Amino acid sequence: MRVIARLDIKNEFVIKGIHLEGLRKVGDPCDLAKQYYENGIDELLLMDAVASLYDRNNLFHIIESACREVFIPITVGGGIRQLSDIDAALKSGADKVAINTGAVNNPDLIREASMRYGSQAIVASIEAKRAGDSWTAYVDNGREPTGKSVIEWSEELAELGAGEIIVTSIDQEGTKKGFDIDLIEQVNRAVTIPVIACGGLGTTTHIEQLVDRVQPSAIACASVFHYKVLGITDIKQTLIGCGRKVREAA
Amino acid sequence: MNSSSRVAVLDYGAGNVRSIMNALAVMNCDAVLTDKPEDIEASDKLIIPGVGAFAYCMSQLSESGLDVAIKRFAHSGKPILGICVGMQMLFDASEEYGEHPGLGLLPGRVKRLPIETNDAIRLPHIGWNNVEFAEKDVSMCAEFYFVHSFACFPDKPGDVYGASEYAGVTFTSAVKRNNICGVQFHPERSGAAGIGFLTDFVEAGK
Repeated sequence: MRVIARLDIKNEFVIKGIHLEGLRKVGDPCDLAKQYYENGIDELLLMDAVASLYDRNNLFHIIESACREVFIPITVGGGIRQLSDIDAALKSGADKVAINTGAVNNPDLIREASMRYGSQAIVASIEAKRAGDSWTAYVDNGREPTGKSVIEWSEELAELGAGEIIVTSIDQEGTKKGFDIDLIEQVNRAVTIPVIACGGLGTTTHIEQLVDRVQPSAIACASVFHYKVLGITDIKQTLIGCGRKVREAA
Repeated sequence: MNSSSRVAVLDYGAGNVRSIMNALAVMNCDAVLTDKPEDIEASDKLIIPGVGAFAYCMSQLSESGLDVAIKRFAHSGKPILGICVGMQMLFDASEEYGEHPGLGLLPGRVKRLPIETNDAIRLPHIGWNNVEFAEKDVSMCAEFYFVHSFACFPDKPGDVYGASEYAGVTFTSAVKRNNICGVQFHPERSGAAGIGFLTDFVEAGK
């Protein structure tokens, strides 16, 4: 299982909120990227927190400098709307792109992008909000409901050619109260591509509870790293304790 | 560091070229990112990066005439390193999105990993895996980063330079024949182990 550090970026700063809102500055993207890399993180996910709201791509120059001394996979998301955005992301140092709003507005973007760059470079990003026993997909950092069922949308994204799906629980995000395990379980069952669980990690018990029920390919966390609640080693040791294979680095 | 050896990194519109240039930069390697056949010919080593679908990447190469430049470079005996799709294109053909011819520098085909998916086993295969190298001259034995659904199946067992395992299936993760080398993993994204691997390629023969 891979452990991914997620850096949400706004105006040159890494920020963090709760339920994707109420954003606070937590540090410099380049410093944090390098620090997490040196501490043995397996991947980085850099998300432009405002790009899809303002329709711009301000992340690329940050990626360029953040990537300079970081030699692990980097996924970039936020404001990826067309093939030229993917080109620009890869040229600035990204290995993969995460697409949410762009896919909702134009599902064919996923198909065209995977034909060109290969499925493995295309990560479909879903922001999920619970409504009873089901979930609705949102865009624009949990602000706009799409009316799509998360499970059906996951299947569609996989069929379109996405190579991975990152599922962020808006309800759990930033709360450090644990993953929405039902959500991860159902998405994981709906597709055969790797699923990345995101949102809610606060303690090692949350990891045990998650992997006891479901085997996502990766977990992506932000708060626990930014606020030094858990170390990368704590998470990996817990996963090893649960019988999961992790990369033993750094 | 010795700067007499120049490495050309092929820019054909479908690679994670910046990552590779960054990796070469920390080694103080004299590297040039290029889409010009004359730059390739003037270099001592060639890296073919790979983020892309096989057919698209091959069409990018043939439209620009870079396929001819790669073959000429290969026949000159100078070292080539293909990464991921850059490795796969060295072979005769691929089955990704239909049947597509490759560069034909190594005999064999590129096929989907023969893996059944389930709750835990997924395709694409994305993750860190050990590489068992045929020769022990590689500076580090460690995990490397993989992201792929397809793998190379060389016709000649002697071309297999490294093997890895995913979901109980062993696949070719590195190939080598004379001056031509290819790796399915991404050394430029594999932390210190990957930098070590690239350093070996860059430094070899200096």
